[in-house]
Amino acid sequence: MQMQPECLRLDSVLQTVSVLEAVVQRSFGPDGGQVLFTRDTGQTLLTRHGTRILTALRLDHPLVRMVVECVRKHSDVTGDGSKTFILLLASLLREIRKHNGKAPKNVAGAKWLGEALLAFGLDELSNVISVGVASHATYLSDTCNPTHTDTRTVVKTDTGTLRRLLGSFLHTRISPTHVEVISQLTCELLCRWSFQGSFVNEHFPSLHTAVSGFPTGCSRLLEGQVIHADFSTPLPVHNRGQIKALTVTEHLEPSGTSGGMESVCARSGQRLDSVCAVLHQLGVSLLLSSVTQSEATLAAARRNGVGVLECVPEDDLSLFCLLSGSQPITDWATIRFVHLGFPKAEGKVQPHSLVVCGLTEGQTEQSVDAIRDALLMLHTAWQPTHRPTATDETPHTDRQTDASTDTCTGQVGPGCVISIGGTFEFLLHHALQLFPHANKHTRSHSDTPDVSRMLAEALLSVPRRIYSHSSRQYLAAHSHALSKVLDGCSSGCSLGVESVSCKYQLILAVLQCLRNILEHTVSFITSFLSCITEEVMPNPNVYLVSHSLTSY
Amino acid sequence: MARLSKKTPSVCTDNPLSKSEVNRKITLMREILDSSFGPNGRLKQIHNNVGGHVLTTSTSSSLLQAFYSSEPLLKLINASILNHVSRFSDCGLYVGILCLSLIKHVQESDLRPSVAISMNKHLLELCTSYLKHEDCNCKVTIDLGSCRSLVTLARSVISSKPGSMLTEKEKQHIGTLTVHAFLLTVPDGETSDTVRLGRTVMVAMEGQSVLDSAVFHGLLVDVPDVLLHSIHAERITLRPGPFRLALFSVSLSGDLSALGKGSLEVPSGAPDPEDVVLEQLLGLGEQVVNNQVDVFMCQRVIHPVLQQYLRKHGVLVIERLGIALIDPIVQMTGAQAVASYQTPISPEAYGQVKGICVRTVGPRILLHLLPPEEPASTICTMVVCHRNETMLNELKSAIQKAEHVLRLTLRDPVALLGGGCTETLLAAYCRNKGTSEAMDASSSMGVSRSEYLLGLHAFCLSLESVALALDHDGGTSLIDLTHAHCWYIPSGQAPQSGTLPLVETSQWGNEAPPTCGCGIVERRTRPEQGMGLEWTLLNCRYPPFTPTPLVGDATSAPQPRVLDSFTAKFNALQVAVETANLILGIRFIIQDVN
Repeated sequence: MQMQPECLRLDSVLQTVSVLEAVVQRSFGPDGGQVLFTRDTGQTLLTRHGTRILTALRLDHPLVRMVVECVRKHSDVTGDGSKTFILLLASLLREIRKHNGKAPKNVAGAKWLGEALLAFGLDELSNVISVGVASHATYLSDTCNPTHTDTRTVVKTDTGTLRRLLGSFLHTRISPTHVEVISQLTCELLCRWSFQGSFVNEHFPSLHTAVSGFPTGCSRLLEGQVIHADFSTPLPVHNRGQIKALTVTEHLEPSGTSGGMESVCARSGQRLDSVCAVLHQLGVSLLLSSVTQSEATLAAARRNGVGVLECVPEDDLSLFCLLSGSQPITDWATIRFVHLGFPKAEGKVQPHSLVVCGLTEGQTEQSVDAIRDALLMLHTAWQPTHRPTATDETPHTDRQTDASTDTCTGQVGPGCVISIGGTFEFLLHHALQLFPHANKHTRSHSDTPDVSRMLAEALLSVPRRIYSHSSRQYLAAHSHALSKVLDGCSSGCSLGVESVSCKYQLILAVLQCLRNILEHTVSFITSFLSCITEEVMPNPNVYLVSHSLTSY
Repeated sequence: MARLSKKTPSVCTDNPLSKSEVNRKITLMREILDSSFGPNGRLKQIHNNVGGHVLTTSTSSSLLQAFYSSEPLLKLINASILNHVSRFSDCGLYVGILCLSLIKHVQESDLRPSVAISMNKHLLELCTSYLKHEDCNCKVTIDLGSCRSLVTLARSVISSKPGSMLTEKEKQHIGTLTVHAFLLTVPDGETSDTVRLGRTVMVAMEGQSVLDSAVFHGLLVDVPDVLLHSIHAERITLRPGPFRLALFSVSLSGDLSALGKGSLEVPSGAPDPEDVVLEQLLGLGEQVVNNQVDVFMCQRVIHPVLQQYLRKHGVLVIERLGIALIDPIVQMTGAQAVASYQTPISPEAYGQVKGICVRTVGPRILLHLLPPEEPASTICTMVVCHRNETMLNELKSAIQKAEHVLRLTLRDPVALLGGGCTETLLAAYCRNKGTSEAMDASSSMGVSRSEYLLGLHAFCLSLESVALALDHDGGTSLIDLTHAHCWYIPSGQAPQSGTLPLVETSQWGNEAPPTCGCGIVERRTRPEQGMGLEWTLLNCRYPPFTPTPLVGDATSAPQPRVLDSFTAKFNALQVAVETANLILGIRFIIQDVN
């Protein structure tokens, strides 16, 4: 049977991606619902995280696995946009199919379009955004910048925009009733840590504690560090105030035996005594141990009034050492000790930990996940847009250097944010449509208008999805966004905001993924064309009825 | 060889709450929880279909732990109830009933989930701020100086667990004992900011009457009969205390397990390792005798030779105490559990007991360690007796819950009215407040006024359905239109409710019981208020009104008969509404079936 393998494959690709889209759009946008999933272990978890949902499906299809992998890579880096990723990918594929429908003779058309889109994204998109979008955006106040070095001068920080950014991000990830509490806490946590976002990010596992059985409203910040271990021997009540702590990573009592019986008995006793004497001499009253200690050691510690924490998690211990400037003891010859009360003299950083409450383990995990990704997202938001994405192994390295030298004038500064509700998509759509007129020196790609129009059309699918319950609101939002362009002013955004840089990275990642899919599709077809028989081919007449793109 | 099996794709369910199968399961669970609620709750027998242990219970913690559902939504509800119970011990069924009836009423009202969720959140905030407010009518301040309200509180918790099958007299007895034990665990005289509560050790005894249960200050230790017979002859019973006590947590059996695994090579001519150890043990014994220790206790086994040696010198030897008793003994006597026998015992490791005597409780004879006078000990033992094992287990868990509730009261000395009155009051308050500010609130939340009123009605109905769930005998539940308390008419005394118009207030006057559910409102017309009470059926619409507080002087006013823990119920209310919101917000279920 003779057929156009290309066209068919493209349809089946589109069909597959549309299935993913159908799942993801359940929890997309501010009105999206939660997805409950049960693990193979029987655990129930709640999520609105696109990557989580997609991986939980455990789909077998090789193409799906590739797409899911791309989404995962993207959200691992930026923490944001996994659901929009799928929506954009699906609508780009639809655009390509529409385009291909006009010229079916072009065998490698889809692949070529994918290449062209990616090239356009890498070369021109940053420019277009900086011209068409960034001029209507606002910036996060500079004090929130993690790269800002002089933290001492920061007295009172305006966190309004930051809070709105966090709020609108969390709106897409957790139950809307908890957004306020969690975003407030995340914001405060960052404030306390003087906006050292990357530090908080790195040590987040030991900076948060999940507690189930309480309503989410009970979540709060605690000053100091929470060590996730219980006292094996209690800390004596009488000495409050500053206490000295010692961290150890080895057994205080030797377990092995050598020599005669008597010597063993005598020696272990002596060893313990000498250890206790040292502890006493140093005035240590808290022992943090990463391993379990023997009962004899615990009894000796109890006798000497030393509180012992056994099996302290490795992360907690390393953070503790970092904060207090101590070193764990592995060799008794060199002993250093610390004050637990974290002296406040050095700098403005006040260590605080976050306690996240929730009804069940599934819910706390969701909140913790969302906060972690919010921090990642903030990190991305501070990157200027001219940087290439780190998500993929890019074969376009030479072009990137080109692009960065080309576009260094038109980059979007770090911390650029824009109102939510599809404003970014509307503005970019508008800017892309004007693109060929604005840009005089299109040199390499003679067909850029074509590609840019496709991208512009595809972008509109995102706000369409947001306002899917009422087309009137969609039109209202569209005209509102365009009125900004005509007025030429960046109106203050009273609602939530989202990061332009995240959006830019997202589009690039989608374009990369698209190109990968299309390339693989073609090579797959060309290498297996010989063994295709009628029964393994899906019926070419069955096309997925996609959402009509011209319904508005 | 590791087996590698292919992962199968997950099973997806779209919009689960619209599926009839899911709804059927949710209804079933609601019926199970409803029927177990309160002092008249029906007991449930749980057993699997291949036989084995049969569990008879009505408490949420045992019921839900045994209750397995494959439905993810129910799993989620189950988990959040159990998590609440693990923190607060009380009000587990309350969470379940309120949550499930909220889901039911929201579904019946046909509201969009997102609207219902924001409504529930708004009304929850209304309730919590009302409960926190000083003028809240549902709150009763607990006077820690008198036992009366504490006993009422403990009694209410115990009587809400009908699985323990107690008579009124027995309930009173157990309630009083629980408060007694609780008071013994509170240290007195200390003014420091941190207070360390003691603990109650429970000794269960099967086959005795509940009224034989008792509380002892100090610890009761189970010892073999042989030892008890000899105790009378020993010097410990002859002279007055206090006695010195040594406590070991390491095994004194003389084996070499402490050295770890591996083989031990003993060269010929060297002493036998076991002899060396025994020698050390005897050396220890000698030190103990020289230090005039009277009681020698060990968590594990003591070598018979050492036992014999110590007995010969008049020391009372108790072995195999078990890990559970070590901590209370340490707390009570001030001794330190010694974990090695190689080194001499330091003098401060010794503890003290005031005296030792033999107690006979039912068929068992126990050794009673009396706590030392100074410092005052906070350890006590409660002997709990009941006729059979199932009821005994229920009673034990009821007492533990009551104790936890009492401890919670220590931090926040308020309680809520029981008997359904808190729920009807809250419902009346919400209905009134919500209706009066419907215009402003609905516009600020972005919902229409009719949606707002529908959500309000669903929420209030759910609160009232908790009060309704207290009744299982086909009686009639009423609400009075002055104080908004809950009244209950047993079946057979009420006129046919089906023929009544929606609001019929006057005719309940004759049938209404003498007091309301919690017992602070009385039926008789109060001259100082100038009017009698009017009633209406609880599960119908009534015109919103402001619940008036009870006036009258504190001495003559009736005391509440039923009290609930404030802390537990406050959290339960929040957990229930949040869980309902979670369930309502779920749009999709993905089940991993690997």
